[in-house]
Amino acid sequence: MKKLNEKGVSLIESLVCVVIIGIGYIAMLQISAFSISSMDRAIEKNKINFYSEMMMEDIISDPEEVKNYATFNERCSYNMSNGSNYHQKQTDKWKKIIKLKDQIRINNKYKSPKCNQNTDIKQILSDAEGNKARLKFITEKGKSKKYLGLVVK
Amino acid sequence: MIKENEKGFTLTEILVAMVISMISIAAIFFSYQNFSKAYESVSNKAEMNSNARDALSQMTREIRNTGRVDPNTVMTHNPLRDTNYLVKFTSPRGYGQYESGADFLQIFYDDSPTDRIRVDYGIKKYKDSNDTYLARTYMVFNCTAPNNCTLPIRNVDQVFINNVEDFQVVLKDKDGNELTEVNNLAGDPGKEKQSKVKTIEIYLTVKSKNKIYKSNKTWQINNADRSYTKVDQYHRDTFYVSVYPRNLVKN
Repeated sequence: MKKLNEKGVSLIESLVCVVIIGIGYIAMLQISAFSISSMDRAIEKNKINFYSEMMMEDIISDPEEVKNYATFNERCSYNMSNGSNYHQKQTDKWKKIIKLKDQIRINNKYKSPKCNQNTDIKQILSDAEGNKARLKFITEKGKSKKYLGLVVK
Repeated sequence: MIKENEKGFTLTEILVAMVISMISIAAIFFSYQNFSKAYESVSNKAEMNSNARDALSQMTREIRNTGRVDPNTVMTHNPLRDTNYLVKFTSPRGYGQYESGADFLQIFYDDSPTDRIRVDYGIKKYKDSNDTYLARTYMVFNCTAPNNCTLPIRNVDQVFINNVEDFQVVLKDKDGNELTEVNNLAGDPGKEKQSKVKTIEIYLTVKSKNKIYKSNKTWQINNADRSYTKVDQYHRDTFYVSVYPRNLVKN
């Protein structure tokens, strides 16, 4: 037997329920969006690994000139030296590759990586004797940092 | 027993509830659709990235080995005059079965006093489509004496990376200038250029497995000595490595 004061769900109650489910769904969506952007960031970090390896490998191939590579200090502008020495050609090549200069054009626009002039740094440092090199690669507004050390001689 | 004043939902309540539910279902559907597209796009890019990185890492290791002569090798000839250690062609010259316009790279190194490894890289078409992949051929020559060799391992044109559109190899000397005709078609001068190679630069352009853009995009790719244009809904990226062939330089 049903009780006299037994009622169904009121509209207010069902609306509150919808709102709570909606908040939960939005939270899930945020987590998913964050995971997608994390994957995207991982791809970018992967590229930085490529660039770092390229720079280190080029320095290994030219052990006598480590100090000259230590002049490499770029943010977003990448000024080419257009020099004729091997190390100048190599560092110009790095700049072109990192900047994706003239490499891929989509709908007549060159693809260029995100860069923040204030926080992003790509730099090679060396010791006084030119025996060791250190790479510093800071991107994503300072959030992503990569350091690599190399003993050349 | 049912009391007289006991009520269900009114028509207005049901209509309001239906409208709210439909709005929420539509919101969930469209946001899921957007999420799904974004996920597919990023996972395609991630797959391209990881395939290219794995493959380039292996290529880098092999290229670093190129020119390695085992100190106890049974080969008695001058390895740089009589043997190829590094060969580069622009297809179809020399190797017509590879895709035109892309490069072909062949490297050799000793794995032991009796085993010499040969690895070839070039772009080939899939049998059932016009898409292309980076093919890798791996061979082991086992020699007991000079000119007395067998070929116990011969894996030809295996799929090394899927959906590779372009493969460019740039060989540079100690002054950073590009070396061309590093192959036996140029005779001894071509072979002798092997020892002048100081840097090997590789450009690899990979296309996504699935279409990920809603409309066509015009892609212009410029990789070292080659430029080409494609118009479609696929994504592309170019991966690059620079390798110092230590063993070759040592020779």
